[in-house]
Amino acid sequence: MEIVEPTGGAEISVPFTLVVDSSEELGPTDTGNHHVHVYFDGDDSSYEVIESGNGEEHEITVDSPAMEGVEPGEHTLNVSLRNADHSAAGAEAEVTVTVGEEGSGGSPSDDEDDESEEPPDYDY
Amino acid sequence: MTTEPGTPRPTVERNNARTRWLHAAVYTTVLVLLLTGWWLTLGQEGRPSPLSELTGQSDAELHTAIGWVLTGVAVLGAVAGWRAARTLLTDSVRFRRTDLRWFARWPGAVVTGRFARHEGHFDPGQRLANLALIVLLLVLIVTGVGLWSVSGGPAFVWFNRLHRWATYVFTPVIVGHVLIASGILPGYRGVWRAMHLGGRLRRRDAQRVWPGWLERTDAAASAVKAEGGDGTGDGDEPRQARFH
Ligand code: HEM
Ligand code: HEM
Repeated sequence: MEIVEPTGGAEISVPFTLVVDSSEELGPTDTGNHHVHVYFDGDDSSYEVIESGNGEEHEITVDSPAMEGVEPGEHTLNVSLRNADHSAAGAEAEVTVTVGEEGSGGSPSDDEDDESEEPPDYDY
Repeated sequence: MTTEPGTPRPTVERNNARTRWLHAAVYTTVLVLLLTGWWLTLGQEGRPSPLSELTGQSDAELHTAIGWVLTGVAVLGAVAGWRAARTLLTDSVRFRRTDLRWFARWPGAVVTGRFARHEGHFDPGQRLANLALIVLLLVLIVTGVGLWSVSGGPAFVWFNRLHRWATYVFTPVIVGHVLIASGILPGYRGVWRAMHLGGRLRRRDAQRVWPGWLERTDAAASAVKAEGGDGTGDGDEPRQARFH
C-alpha cells in the first residue's frame, strides 16, 4: 500500500488529488473487495472512503469527512487498507504534507471552482 | 396486601423485572445497530453519525462492537431465560381458527379498542411479530458474525446480502412494534407499561388486549390466595396456570 500522490513534504491545498496504490483490488463493501480509508493525523473516526481505482486520481474536497477539523499547517496524511467489513487489513501508509490556507491559493489553479454544493464524490 | 376478593388491584403485572431488563438491553443495542447499519448502507461511511461523534468510534466499529453485545445478550437471554424463551416461542406458534376473526377486526380495533377475543398470552398480531422478530434477529446475528469472521471475499458478499435484506424486513416490523407497543394507537393505550417501570398495566387495558391471559392470571392468583399465599403473584407465577 502506497501513497503515490501527494508526495512526502508536499504543500497541498484543498481540494487535492490523491493517488493510492495497493496490492488488492478495490470495491464497495457489497463486492467483498477491500477499500481504503483516508484520514489525517491518525484519527480514523472520520474518513474518506476510496472504493475503486487503484493508481487513479481521486479528488479530496473540503466536504470530505477526512478534512473535518484539519487546520492549515503540517499534517500526516494516512491511508489504511480495509477489509470489506471495515476492519484493518494490515497495510497502511502515510506521508507528511502541509495543508495550505483554505482559499489562499496555495497552489496554482485551485481558486474559483470550489463547487462546494456538489455532493461528496462517492460513486455508488 | 389486603386485597379483598372481588376488588382486585387496579393494575396487573405482565412482565417481570428480568424480562424487562432483557427487553431493554435488546432494544438499546438493536436501535444502535439499526442506526449505524442504515448509516453505512446509505453510503455515509466515514462521515461520523451523531452516535459516532458522541463515542469517538467510527460507525463501522461501533456497529460491530454493539453487534457483539447483542450477540452476548441474546445468548445469555436464551441460556439464562430458556424457560421464558421457550414460552415466548411456544405461545407464539399457537394459532387457532378463531384468530382469523381477530385479524379481521384488527384494523378497526386499533382505533376503537374493540378487539375480537383471543385466548393467547399474546394477541395474534403479536404472535406473528414475535416469530418475525425472532427469525430476523437470528438471521442478523448469524450473518453479522459471518461478516465479521470472513471479513471479505465471496462468502462476505452473501452474508452481506442476507444481512441487508434482513434489515429491510426487520426495520418495518420494529417500527410497527414500537408504534403499537408505545400506546400511541388508541386501541393499545396503556400497554407500554407492560414492559416498563414496574411492568404492571391497568386491568382494563389488559382486559381489552389480553382477556384470556388476564382471566388465567386472576384465577392463578386467587388459587394462590386460597392456599394462603399473598396473591401478589411474583413474576412467573401466573404462567403455571396457562392453558394448554
Ligand atoms: C438488529 C441487528 C442488526 C442490524 C439491523 C444490522 C444492520 C446492518 C446494516 C444495514 C449493515 C450495512 C450493510 C451494508 O450496506 O454494507 C450492517 C453491516 C455490518 N453488520 Fe450489522 N446489523 C445487525 C446486527 C449485527 C450483528 C449482531 C453483527 C455481528 C456481530 C453485525 C455485524 C456487521 C458487520 C461486521 C457489518 C459490516 C459489513 C458491512 O458493511 O456489510 N451486525 N449491519
Ligand atoms: C428495537 C427493538 C425491540 C425488539 C427486538 C422488541 C421485541 C419485543 C418482543 C419479542 C416482545 C415480546 C412480545 C411482544 O411481541 O409484544 C416485546 C414486548 C414489548 N415491547 Fe418490545 N421490542 C423492541 C423495542 C421496543 C420499544 C422501543 C418499546 C417502547 C415502546 C417496546 C415496548 C414493548 C412492550 C410494551 C412490550 C410488552 C408487550 C407484552 O407484554 O405482550 N419494545 N418486545
